[in-house]
Amino acid sequence: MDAHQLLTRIFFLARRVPNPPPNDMPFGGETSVLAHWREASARRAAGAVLLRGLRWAALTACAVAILAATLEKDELVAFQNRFDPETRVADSAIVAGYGYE
Amino acid sequence: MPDEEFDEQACLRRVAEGDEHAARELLRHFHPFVLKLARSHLPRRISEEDLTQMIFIRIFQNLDSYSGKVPLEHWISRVAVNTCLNELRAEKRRPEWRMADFDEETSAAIERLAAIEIDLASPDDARRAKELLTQMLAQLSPEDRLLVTLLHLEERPVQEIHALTGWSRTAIKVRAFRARAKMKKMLQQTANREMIFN
Repeated sequence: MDAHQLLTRIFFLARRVPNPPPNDMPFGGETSVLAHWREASARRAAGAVLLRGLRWAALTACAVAILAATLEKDELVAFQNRFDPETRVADSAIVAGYGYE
Repeated sequence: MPDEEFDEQACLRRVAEGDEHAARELLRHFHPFVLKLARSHLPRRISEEDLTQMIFIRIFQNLDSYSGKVPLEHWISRVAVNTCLNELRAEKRRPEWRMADFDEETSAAIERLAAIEIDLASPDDARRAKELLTQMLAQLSPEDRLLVTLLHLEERPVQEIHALTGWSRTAIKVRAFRARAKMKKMLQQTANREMIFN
C-alpha cells in the first residue's frame, strides 16, 4: 500500500463516521442573533430616515438657489434701467467716443 | 431540511417587514443546516455554537442583499462557508509538520488502517480515520482544509464548490491536488519511520 491508497482509505472510512444529530440552538444564541438583527434593522431604518432628510434638504437648497437667481435677475434689470433714456444715450456716446466698444 | 411546509418566500417577506416571529422561524428552520456546515469547517479555537451564531448574525445582516436569483439554501451555504473560512484564516496555523506530532497512538492507528481489510473495518477504525484526518487537516492552510473537507469528506462536486467559494474550477483542482500531496507527505513521513509502506 502506498500513501495515495492509504489517504483514499482514510477518506473512505472517515466518511462512514455518522454526524452527531443536530441539537437546538441554545436560547441565548437565538436571542443574541435576533438582538443583532433588531439593532441592524434599527440602524438601517435610521439611515433611511437620514437619507430621506438629506434628499429633502438638497431639493430645498436647489429651490432656494433658483428663487434667489430669479430675484437677482430682476434686481440686475432694475439696476440697468436706473437712468432715464437721455442719460443712457449720453453714456453710450461717451463710451463710443473713448473707443471702449 | 426539516419542516417541509416552511414557506420561504413568505417568511423572507415578513422578515423584511421586521417581523421578529418570522426571523425566529427562519433561524430555527435553517439551524440544523448551518450547524452541519459549521461542524464541517470548525476552527480549533471556537465552539460550534459560537460559529453557528456568528454565521446567523452575518446571514441576518446581509439578508436584504439576497436577490432571490439562487435558492436561499445556496446563499446561506455561501455565507456560512465564507464565515468559516474567515475564522479559519484568523486561526494561526500550527508550526510546520513534524513526525513527532503524530503520537504513538496515531502512528499505531495509521499502521492499523494500512493493514486492515477495508470491508472488515470496524466503526472504531472509521473513528480513528476521522481523528487522523482531523489532525492532518489542522496542518493545512484554511483554504486547503476547506477544500479537502468539501471535496473529499462531503463529496461535493467541483461545480458546487465553485458556487460556494467563488474559486475557479481550475484553481479548485490544482489546490486539491496540492493539498492531497501535502497529506500524502505527512503519511509518508510517519510511514517511513514506522516502515508501514512496502
